[in-house]
Amino acid sequence: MIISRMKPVSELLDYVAGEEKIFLIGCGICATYCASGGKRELMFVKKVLEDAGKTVTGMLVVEGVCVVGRTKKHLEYYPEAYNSDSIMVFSCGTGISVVADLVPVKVHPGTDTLFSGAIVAPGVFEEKCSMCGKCELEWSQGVCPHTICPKGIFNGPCGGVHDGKCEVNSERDCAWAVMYERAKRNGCLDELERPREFKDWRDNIKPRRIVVRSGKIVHH
Amino acid sequence: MYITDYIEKHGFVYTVELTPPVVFREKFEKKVQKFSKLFKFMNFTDFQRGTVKVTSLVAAIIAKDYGVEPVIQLTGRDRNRIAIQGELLSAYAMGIENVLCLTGDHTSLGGDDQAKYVGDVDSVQMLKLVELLSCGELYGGKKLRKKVEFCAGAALNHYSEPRELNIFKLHQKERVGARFFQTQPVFDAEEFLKFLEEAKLKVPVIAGIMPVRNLKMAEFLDKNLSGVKIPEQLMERLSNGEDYLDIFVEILRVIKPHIAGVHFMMAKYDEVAYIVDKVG
Ligand code: SF4
Ligand code: SF4
Repeated sequence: MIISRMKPVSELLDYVAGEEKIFLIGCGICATYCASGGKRELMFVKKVLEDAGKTVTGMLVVEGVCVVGRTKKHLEYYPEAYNSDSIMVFSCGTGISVVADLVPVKVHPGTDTLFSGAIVAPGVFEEKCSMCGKCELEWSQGVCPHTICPKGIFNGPCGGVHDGKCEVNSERDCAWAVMYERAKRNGCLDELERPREFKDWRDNIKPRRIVVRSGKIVHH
Repeated sequence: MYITDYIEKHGFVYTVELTPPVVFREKFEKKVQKFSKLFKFMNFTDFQRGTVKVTSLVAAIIAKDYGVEPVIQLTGRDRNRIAIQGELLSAYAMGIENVLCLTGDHTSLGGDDQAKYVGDVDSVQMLKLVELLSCGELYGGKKLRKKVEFCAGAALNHYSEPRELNIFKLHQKERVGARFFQTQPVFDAEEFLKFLEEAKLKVPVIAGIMPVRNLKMAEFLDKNLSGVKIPEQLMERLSNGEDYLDIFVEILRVIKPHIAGVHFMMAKYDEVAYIVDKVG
């Protein structure tokens, strides 16, 4: 799931200073789940904007703003969106960009997109993977060296590990302490002993795009 | 001169860590000149704790004019593999022969906590880059016309726990070519020696000594220096008004037979002069 957080109201109001008519779009999947852009949040923003003297021309929640065709289709039924001064989108950054690509008016981001996260309990989201393009989880025992270790260390731990906790955030386990214990348990400490060479970042050159046809990647 | 060659020849080395200047070159030069009376080897820090300064390399070049053999510190915090190799080639071009390879602190803990952490190269990978250069190669296979050799060292933080994992990493540093270790400051001689005994390292260890002047400073370091623990006993002795320099003379006397050198950190000239004179 893509985890996002609604921007502070003051920032949203700054964006629309000088504008009058604003259309709101939310996302029925991730942003609803993490309470950054579902129906409830749109109602909240509507009130905030109206209290500030703005007109909310309409609201739309798409089940996945990131699905371009779906968002495009929905927007066809909302001509008022195009007649507004701007559209404020409450989804992940992908959804916001999708809308900005589709409409001929100014688009404001309503959220800050944080990470791709696991839902570890209702309302508790944790980052596990930074989507680097070349997964290292085989040797790293399922602990992402780019994500769980803030320094992205391939040959760890750093000298800052203290009682198995991370130097950067002492409430979190050091990625390498976890990795080491798992490697011992899995009987493959040798995988960690071998010095890791450099990361190949070529699959991380932005923006990335793949084309899949009949279950096969046909273009990369 | 390689610091390890010096150790081999003389049995022991005293080094001091200096912070490169921000803008006052003259003041820095005076400091270097003063310390050079006692020290042949000096370490220069690399944007220590993420603060902007003259680079360790430029500080080292300045120091060379005073007959100093510099050890430049390099971290992977602010430079990727291209910049690290470039810095190493630049160091070589300027006759710098010793380098301390560090992963570095995280930017979020330093002077500009909004800066992006680079982290393309960790300490082990940096040692690997040094090894490649010494074979006349850059990362990626490009051959150089000449071997570019350094004496590369690594950091040892004996406070890092779990100890087993800490030692695991130190051995890995040795495997990729660390030729010496420089440690975090030692405040508890017995504990430190226990660590060394357990770690069974093959390369020379240069122990950090940071003369803590008073209780206030001790408490500050205990709280703020990554993982550093200052033993109660030392705190007590400081609060009893015991001469701090004599305490460090004592610590050093205990560990000296087991180490290859001392690395003074955050120390004033008069302090190190006193300690070196007493310990010999
Ligand atoms: S190495 Fe980490 S960031 Fe890269 S794909 Fe695997 S889990 Fe994700
Ligand atoms: S303490 Fe562990 S997780 Fe934290 S930065 Fe160091 S190696 Fe990475």
